[in-house]
Amino acid sequence: MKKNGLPRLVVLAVILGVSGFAVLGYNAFRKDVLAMQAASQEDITWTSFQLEQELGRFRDALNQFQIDGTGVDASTVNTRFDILWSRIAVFQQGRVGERLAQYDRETLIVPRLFSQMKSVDRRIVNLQDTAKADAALLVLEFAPYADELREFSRFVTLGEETRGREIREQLQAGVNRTLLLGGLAIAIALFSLAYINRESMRFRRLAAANRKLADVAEKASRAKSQFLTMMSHELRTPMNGVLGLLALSKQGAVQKNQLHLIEQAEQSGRQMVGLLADILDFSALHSDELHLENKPFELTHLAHAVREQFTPLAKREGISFDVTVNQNCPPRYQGDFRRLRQAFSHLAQYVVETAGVRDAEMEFSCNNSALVVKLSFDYLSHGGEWTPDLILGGDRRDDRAFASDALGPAIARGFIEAMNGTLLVDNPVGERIQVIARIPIEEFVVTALGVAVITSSEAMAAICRAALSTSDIDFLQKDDPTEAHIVLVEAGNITEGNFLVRARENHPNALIVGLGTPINPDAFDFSVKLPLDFHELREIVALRTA
Amino acid sequence: MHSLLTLGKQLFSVLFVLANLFATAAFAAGDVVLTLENTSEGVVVELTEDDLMALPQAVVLTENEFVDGLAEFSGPLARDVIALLNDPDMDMLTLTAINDYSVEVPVVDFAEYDVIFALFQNGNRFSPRDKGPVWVIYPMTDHEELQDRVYNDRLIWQLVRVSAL
Repeated sequence: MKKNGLPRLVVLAVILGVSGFAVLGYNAFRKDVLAMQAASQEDITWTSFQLEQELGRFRDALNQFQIDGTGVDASTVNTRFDILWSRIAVFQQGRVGERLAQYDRETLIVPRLFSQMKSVDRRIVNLQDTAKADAALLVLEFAPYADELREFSRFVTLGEETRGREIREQLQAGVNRTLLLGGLAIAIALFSLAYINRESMRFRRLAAANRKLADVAEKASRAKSQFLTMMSHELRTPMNGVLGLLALSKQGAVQKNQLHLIEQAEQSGRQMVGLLADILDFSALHSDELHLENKPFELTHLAHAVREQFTPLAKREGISFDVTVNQNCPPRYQGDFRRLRQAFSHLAQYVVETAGVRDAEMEFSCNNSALVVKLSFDYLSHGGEWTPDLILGGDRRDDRAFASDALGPAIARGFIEAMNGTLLVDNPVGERIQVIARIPIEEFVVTALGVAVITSSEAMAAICRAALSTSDIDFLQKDDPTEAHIVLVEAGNITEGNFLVRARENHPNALIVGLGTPINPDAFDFSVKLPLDFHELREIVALRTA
Repeated sequence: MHSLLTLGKQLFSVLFVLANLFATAAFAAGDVVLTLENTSEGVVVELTEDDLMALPQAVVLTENEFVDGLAEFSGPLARDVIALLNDPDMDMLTLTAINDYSVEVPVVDFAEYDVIFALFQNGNRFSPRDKGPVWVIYPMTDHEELQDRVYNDRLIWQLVRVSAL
């Protein structure tokens, strides 16, 4: 930076200096032009000559007045005297008078002539046609002024010529100065252009180098992300296998204490699968590869799912957690049920784990085509480290952003923002804080429901048909290519994965309902435990039908 | 030096004004002060001071090279005066002063600008020993383009005759 500081200052100083010279030069040039204009507007040479001329005419009139038969009488002499008087008047006013008076400051011929005229004024006015001798006397009295006025006219003429020459010389000098400054300005402009061009090339090189570095960093980041995604996938597959085997082992004859151990192992496994899912989601959010689903769901089911997912933690922490749904909301919406459930669960979990809450409430409501979820909790009940920045996604970029408890809120915020939603923390009222999520969402209106059943057992399919026989439902045949609204999939055994793949492939937008206890609950929208609870199954379908 | 010159000029001006006040020269009532003529049509119109005063009077506030600062001039509009010749085809006029100095003026000047045949300056009637009987005044302050030697030459004073060419 130091290297470039000096030339910039020098260039700036030179430009300012030249600008100053240009202003001075312009002002001088302008003054010269104005002087030229003033000098050329009125020719005072002519005015001084007129005074000399009118004195001559007055004297001629006096001479002819003395000669009979010339037609010049006392009135004519008076008129000529008046005209001469009026020429004197020109010297008294205006710029013309001022300029003429400057030439007369040495000789004072005009004031002297005027003084003479005033002294003879009465004689002229009272001149009788017979007073020839008086006229002769007047001719003699005015005679000396004729030569002096001639000399004055010559002096004015010479003075004006000199003045004109000086102004022309000044103008020429002004033009020369302007040309010099213009040349200097062009030189500076060229120098500046060269300098700017050099700097521009330097910055372009710098930008190219930065781009390369950014590309390298981007590639490295993408590679890390891909590695993370791949590893998460790879870890999840064996984990599902472990969970499947654990589920199978429960079906055998096991001791109560063994069953407890298996359930604990299942819970840990599910937590591991959930964590892997979070890592995958986080990775997808950061690589802009998150694909949101747009499927119909019940708002009450969403509330129920959040409550179900959060209840174990709430129980463990001894927290009262209440979830309510505003009755004025439409029952069904279209959106990504799973991501919404995750987002709200993560929010609730973060609040409970960090804010030390004693009780929390989550209210689902709607407002102008938006789903509004308010999570309110009692802060400072048990202390705790409440950090709203992690929820709001502020500008903090310290190591806290990558702490273990930062993943949940980051995913929640990422999902909500991916759905064009907003997240804010309301001003605390007393010790109660409210986190508000507002997500634009579309209401879903049901027309007719098609249901597909994927099971290994025809008996199970028949039971399902029987359970839903009273509903207005069209059961699709095995090879029917129509996309179903609901797919009932046999869950909890080794075929679960294959059945799910088939369900997703043939019915990508359908609601997936597991029949039994799923090995991978996240893969299902709902599940109904075996033996099949008809009422529960009908409720799910009835809600969709309604 | 300059201040002395200014002082001398002011003294001279005061003396000149006093001299004009006591001067006997004036225009007699009923005397013809301005003659309009259109030789091709054989029309001659002679106007007295009263005739000029009877026409609508206009006021022009302007500076020029022959007065100190802004001065208020009043008199009939030049276009109203030459309209008395009743010749719409006139395009050039010759304005002649009492000392036979003359200048040619295009008639369009009088149409485009409020040129007046001034009889008064700052409320004082022009004396024959100053610019009287009539001084042709262009509104130079209001129209910058008139501040030029061409129009300066047309500020003819002691005007006595207007002739259509």
